[in-house]
Amino acid sequence: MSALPRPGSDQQEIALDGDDALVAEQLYAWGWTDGLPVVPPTRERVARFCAAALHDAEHCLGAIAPRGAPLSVRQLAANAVMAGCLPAYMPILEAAVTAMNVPIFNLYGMQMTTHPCALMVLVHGPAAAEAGMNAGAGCMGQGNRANGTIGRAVRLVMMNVGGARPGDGDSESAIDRATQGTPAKWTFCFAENEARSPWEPFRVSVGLSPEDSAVTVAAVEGPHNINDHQSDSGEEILFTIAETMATPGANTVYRGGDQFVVLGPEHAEVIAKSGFSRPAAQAYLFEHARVAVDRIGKKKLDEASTWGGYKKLLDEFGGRIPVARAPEDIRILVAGGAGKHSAWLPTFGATYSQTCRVGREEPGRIQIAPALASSTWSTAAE
Amino acid sequence: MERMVIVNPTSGEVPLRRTPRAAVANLQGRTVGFLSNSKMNADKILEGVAEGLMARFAITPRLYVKRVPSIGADEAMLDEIARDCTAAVVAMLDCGSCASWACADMVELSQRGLAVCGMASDQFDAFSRQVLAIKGADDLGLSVVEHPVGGIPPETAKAKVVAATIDQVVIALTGAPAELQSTVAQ
Repeated sequence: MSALPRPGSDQQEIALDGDDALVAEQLYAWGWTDGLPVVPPTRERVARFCAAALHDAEHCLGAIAPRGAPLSVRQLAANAVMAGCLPAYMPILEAAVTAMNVPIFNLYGMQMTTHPCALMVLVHGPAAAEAGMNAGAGCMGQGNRANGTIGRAVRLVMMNVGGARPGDGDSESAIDRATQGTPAKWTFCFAENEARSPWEPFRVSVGLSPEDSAVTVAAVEGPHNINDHQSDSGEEILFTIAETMATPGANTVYRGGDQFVVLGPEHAEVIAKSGFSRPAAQAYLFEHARVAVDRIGKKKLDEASTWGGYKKLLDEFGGRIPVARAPEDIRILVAGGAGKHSAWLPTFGATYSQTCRVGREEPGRIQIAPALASSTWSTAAE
Repeated sequence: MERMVIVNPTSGEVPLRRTPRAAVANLQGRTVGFLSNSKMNADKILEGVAEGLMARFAITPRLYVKRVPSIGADEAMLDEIARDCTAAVVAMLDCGSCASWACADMVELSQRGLAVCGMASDQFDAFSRQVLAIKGADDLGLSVVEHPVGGIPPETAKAKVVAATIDQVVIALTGAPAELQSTVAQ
């Protein structure tokens, strides 16, 4: 195997020795993969991906934490090739990496936390269908090329450009310190099922126009299933969801940040037919998804209430701690196919998801959805 | 031999960053800031260090607390520490995001001219040094105590601060082991 190229070398020659498979082995040996075989990022392949991008190949999409290396479209393309993407996915990837670089997303902390947060890439609007993404049955699982490889490409960028690879500090770049990690760290990408949503598309609800395609990134745990085959009213289904969310171990209970409830279409339909708008459903979950203080150990509650800024509010809460700091921090959308399942995705807590417009019509224009009014941090002690 | 040319997916050059280390010649009678990130028992570790420095150098300790460990300290708080103190001790560097942001706080304080030491658990010592290196702050010092610091009784955590721990803090803040030895001998 060749010596590890220095980071600044733009290209690298690899001896084939009559076996193309050696390239993937070499890339693995250099620590440039996620552990699975990759497609070699040849100059020709990378050039095709750059040609499909919204920005020029040398355009800088930002510095990726924690290493802080600038990410050019060309490097994004190299990682996208490796992940098995198609060139047509490039605009989605450009939006995703732009969104994750918004400071309040806290990529710096997310990359190095012991918490098992994956980077969820959620695609909205026409771009999802154009890329052939799955928004229906099994959308968070295996089987769709765009879903699988877009999430993988972003992960490779976080490792190869951001410099965060998992480990116990056993090598210079082993600074992703997740205690256990999550399978969703391999890849986690799906599309919103707007066609089955009883409410306006998520991208519109966060302030983008109906014509826009968009990408949302969030630092979430793997999806936690919520099964309710029996309830036939919106309130009953929301009650099941709220009780599932009311768990003392989630970061969001004590740190805030936002979180996602991804409703299966059947649950969403029942909830909407019962008269719940999206804000009404958010308000219901905010009021009912609460963790009773006697379900939290005293020492944990003491620290958690400090971090969460509600140490002096426990009486006001009636001894029941809301799992979010504001109703709008509980993000609701629809994805998936037939069946009576939904998913809850709590975040790392010290993070707010970001939604970025995919600027197809106006190349070079990047628009981030307005921040939530609640998306503010104060580190001052009470 | 046939060769394939590939594009390096890691090739972005990181801008050279350098955070100079500030040091105080002597801690005697100085005001030292103690910045807790609210991790469990961070205050106890800082209490132990403060008591050690008060005994040796008659320092005046000031405690500062940031509420959320996984984000950076407010600019106003960092400015206040810089205005009121000559040196600062930051705790606790004992998990991933909290240590990485504590390292960022150390860099911010160092850039404001303060001598700085971070309190790391031994399971996050190497990690914290990696994060400091990324920030061009390799020279900033750490004092290391046995992991874990959280999830144990406060008095057990405080007992992890021993004379050698204080020695490491003094070296980090003054940068001179020889001076440390002479000071200890006084």
